[in-house]
Amino acid sequence: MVEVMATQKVSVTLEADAIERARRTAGPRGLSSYLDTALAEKLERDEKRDALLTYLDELEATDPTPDATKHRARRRAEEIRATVMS
Amino acid sequence: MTDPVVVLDSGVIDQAVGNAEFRWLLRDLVEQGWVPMIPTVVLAEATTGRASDAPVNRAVEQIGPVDTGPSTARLAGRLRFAVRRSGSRRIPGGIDAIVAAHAAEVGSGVVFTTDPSDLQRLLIDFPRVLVKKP
Repeated sequence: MVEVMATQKVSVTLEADAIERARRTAGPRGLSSYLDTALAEKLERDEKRDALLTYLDELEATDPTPDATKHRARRRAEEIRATVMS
Repeated sequence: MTDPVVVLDSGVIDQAVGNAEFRWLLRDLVEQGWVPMIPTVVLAEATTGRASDAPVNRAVEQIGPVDTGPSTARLAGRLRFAVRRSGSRRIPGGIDAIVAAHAAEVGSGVVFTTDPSDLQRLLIDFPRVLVKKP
């Protein structure tokens, strides 16, 4: 059985250049389908992040981390970000 | 631009629960917009089917495992072949290659693993993907 998703028409404001690039990349799929997929992917990523942070909060509530350990972890995270984003 | 990923290899999933420093490291990266990822294939090494899997199962449930499609699997094959062609005696296993491919596909991020050597060789051509211990 093919599941048909409900759709809704919305009015949003986007950068003109981005719309043009999306239209070119989407090709025959069409802009709506392309944006729909991009939005679904973005939502999935954000939901995963939120779920993990909620879980980490739960763990922290039962097993609090000493400040010195948090500080070490933050320093390591900064180093990783600096290398990857350079 | 795609958000960088934080890929968890099999040996580090339970450390997200039990290792406080790693937990905060993960938190810091994720709060800055990095996307956590557990390739489904690592469950073959991270779980045993026993009750002791509970911490791993809980972490996997929160993050949601990512299945491997044909293009990622082919990329894994290319990465493995590149290591073999480089003359290396030890050829990384298929699971490591798939973990590497998921990160390589995104192009930026970090792979956490307890055994970095094979993943580092697989990702040698991807300078914006780091391989680190937890």
